[in-house]
Amino acid sequence: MVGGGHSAAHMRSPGARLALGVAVALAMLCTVLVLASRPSWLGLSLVWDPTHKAAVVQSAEGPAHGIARATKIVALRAQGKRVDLAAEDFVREPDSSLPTFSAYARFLRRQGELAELQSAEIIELVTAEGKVLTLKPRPGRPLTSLPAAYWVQLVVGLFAWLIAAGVWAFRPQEASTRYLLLSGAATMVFAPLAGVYSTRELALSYPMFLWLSELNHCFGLVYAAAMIALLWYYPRRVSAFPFGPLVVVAYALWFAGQVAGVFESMLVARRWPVFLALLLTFALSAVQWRKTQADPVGRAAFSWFLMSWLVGTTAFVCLTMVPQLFGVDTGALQGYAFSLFLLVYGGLAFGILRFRLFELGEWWFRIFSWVFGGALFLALDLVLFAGLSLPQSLSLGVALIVCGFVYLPLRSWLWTRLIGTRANERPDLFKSVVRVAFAASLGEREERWITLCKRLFDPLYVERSEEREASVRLEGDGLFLRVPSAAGGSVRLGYKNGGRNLFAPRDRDLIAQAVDMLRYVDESRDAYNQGVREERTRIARDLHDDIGSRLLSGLHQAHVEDTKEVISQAIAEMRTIIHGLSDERLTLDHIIAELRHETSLRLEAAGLELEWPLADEPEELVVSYAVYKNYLSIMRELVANIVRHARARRVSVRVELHGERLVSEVRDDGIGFTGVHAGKGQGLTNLHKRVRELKGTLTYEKRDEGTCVRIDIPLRAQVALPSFAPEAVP
Amino acid sequence: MSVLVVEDKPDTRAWLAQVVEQAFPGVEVEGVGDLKSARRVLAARAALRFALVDLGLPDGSGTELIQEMQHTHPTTPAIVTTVYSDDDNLFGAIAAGAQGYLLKSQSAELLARHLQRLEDGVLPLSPSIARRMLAFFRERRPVSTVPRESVVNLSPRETEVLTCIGRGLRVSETAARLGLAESTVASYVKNLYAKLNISTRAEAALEASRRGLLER
Repeated sequence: MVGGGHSAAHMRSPGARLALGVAVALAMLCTVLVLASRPSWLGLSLVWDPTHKAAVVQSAEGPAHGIARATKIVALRAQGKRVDLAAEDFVREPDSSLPTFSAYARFLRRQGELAELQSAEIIELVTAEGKVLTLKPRPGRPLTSLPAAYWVQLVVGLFAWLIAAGVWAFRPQEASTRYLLLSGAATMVFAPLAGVYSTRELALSYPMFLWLSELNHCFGLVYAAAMIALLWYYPRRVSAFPFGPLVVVAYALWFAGQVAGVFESMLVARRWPVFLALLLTFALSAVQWRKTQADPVGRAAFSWFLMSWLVGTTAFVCLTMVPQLFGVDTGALQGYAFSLFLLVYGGLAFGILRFRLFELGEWWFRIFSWVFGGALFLALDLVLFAGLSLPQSLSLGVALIVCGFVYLPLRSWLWTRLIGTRANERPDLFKSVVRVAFAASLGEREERWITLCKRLFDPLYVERSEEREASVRLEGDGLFLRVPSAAGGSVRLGYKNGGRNLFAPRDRDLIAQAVDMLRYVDESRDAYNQGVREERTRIARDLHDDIGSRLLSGLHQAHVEDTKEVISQAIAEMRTIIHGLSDERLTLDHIIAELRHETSLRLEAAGLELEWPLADEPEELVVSYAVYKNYLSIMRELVANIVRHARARRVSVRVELHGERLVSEVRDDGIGFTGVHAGKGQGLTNLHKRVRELKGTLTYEKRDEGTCVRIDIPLRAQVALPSFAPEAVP
Repeated sequence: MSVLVVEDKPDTRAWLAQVVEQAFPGVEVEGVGDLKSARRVLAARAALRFALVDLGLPDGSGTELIQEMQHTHPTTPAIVTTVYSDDDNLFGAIAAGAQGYLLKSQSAELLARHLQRLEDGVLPLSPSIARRMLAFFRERRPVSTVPRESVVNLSPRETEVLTCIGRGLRVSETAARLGLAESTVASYVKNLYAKLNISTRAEAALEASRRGLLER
């Protein structure tokens, strides 16, 4: 089913899907930034010191700028309430640091209390020495105060999602890419959210922390499940059993179990599924490894995928979760450990480049450039928008002028230069096709053809194949276009306009037209070459038959006079051939004029009289070369015969056109001739041969007063040789 | 007066010389094989009886010589010797001022006869040359800036003569058909030769002056 409505078709192009992915990423970005900036800002960076049982100030800025470094704070006071700080308040990652769910619940409650105090208008900090410092928190936390760990986790999440979405955009139907997308989505949720809570200053409100933490864990489980499922389907589906959905459901249930309070130990509830997932993936990897035994290319791709994924995830697990088994708290490290996921997804991207992972190629990267470009332009617009609100002195009019005359044209120019579809420079189709047809070699033909296809459609990728393909076809609902190649075989074009669009029936028709054009040019050229060949053959034949044979005969004459005669005949024949080669149209009256002139000279030389009446009006009928050549030769021969043998005194010639037949009569008053000739000379045989070639008739009539030879030639029915006459060209 | 034969093929040159001697007993024949020698010979004499000029010479075309002779030896008729009478180059030579042509492929007797006729002012004209002349004059555009005497157009009679010959009629038959004397037709042919030459020169001069104007 090809092409529904334009919007539906547009949605299905990889570019559109990827653009959607970017939109989702932007939404997530905004959400996470908002979340991070919601709590009020103290301006403090605190680290728990177990020896002094106090929170030590690492740095103080903003609202807390009066507070000295290394101040030890033991409690918080606000609105008449006081909360003493404890070690667990500074846990970065609850999953890593808290042993049980009850500890977790307590932790969350304390966080809630602290958050309440933190959001008061004035806070008092109680130091270890008993001093009280007042602090007036600011309503929102500035993004510049967020530490590097936050940004790392945010970037990791977005990167993973974009890569996964980029792969899925090209292969939305496959199970493997869907699970990859799921894993990317999961990463996009768990990493940034963890970033929010793990980089908090002191506390987040109870509901917020609960949600963030639960979502983080939930999607961590989803990630694990997705990875297991992925390996069930990639590179080859292990079996028809719906293992994928089963795993996801199983992990979902496990999470539900936690929420329901089934588990007590955080370690068991939160870490064991991960270890299990790791083991399962190792097992499945082994299975898939064996499956790719027969396919070295597939195996290369898969091994790369495995390596980057296994190394990344295993390293992460080892760094953050395994130590937990031994009671070591790695929560603080988690933020940075997330960057190992960059390894996973970065490796995936590299694998696409090197090993055509998921059957994507180096061209895959191109699609990101314009999607991100578009996003950048949006950002540019937002910046301007924000900027507009700053200078209040600028009147509205000036702002509009700047916008209309400077910004918008500049933006639009930049857009077309950087992002815009290379304006389908409709190359002059005819010229390009003809260029293809006249390429010197088969290889060059194919090159030029592919260049033409690229210029027409700007596909992301082009694949050649040896399969013969007679027609142009849309494949994959417009994702691909299969086209016959100009040198046999076929070419497959993928992802029109750099992935922005799908191939439409209109494109198929255009290329089909080009294919037809090419075929036509080829056929015409072949016909032309054939014609040239035939003409050469004809010329060679005439040279051989008429001139060569006469010269040869001249060699063998006993008497010089006969030799001269034969040679001058050869010259006459040569003249006819040369004249026939000229561009001049061979009309009947020209031929008759020449013949008459020549004959009269000849007969004059021999002392005979010529009587040849001409018609009143010249006959402008164009005749073919075959008729021209052969007719002249016939008449020449007849006259020569009369001169030589007939012993006549007078020759009379009549040439008339009867409908489409040229009827000529040559009469002489000599000794008479019946048409049977005993003796030397090939003349007669040649004569008959020529007449036969013209599909005409030659009759001799012996009369009392000499001989009458009648030649009857049809003018139109000359098929044997290609003619010179313009109207004979097909 | 002597005769100049310009012909690069030695056998043919000798043969032509022989034909001339046969046609005009006692005449002195000078034979040369290229343009340079031809010019040398011409420079040494004020006028010749006539010159037989072959077109395909090793150091140029006979047409060049014919053009030069129009200026250097205007009273010496230059006659082209050629193999075919429908040769493209022949027309150009006639336009350059040749006073007739001879077919080298004919027998010596015929050639001698034609030579004598040429001297008598009977110039040969083949159907193809006649047709080309017709086409030439038909295509010419009247140019107002050209001096009056150079505007060359065909008179109706001349057109008729050319048409008849173009259809293959001989001079005698043309005369019969048009109700003229043979000698009249012959002089028409001679005039046509001259008109072609003048016309060509006028066009060349016009072109030259136009170019000169442009270059200034």
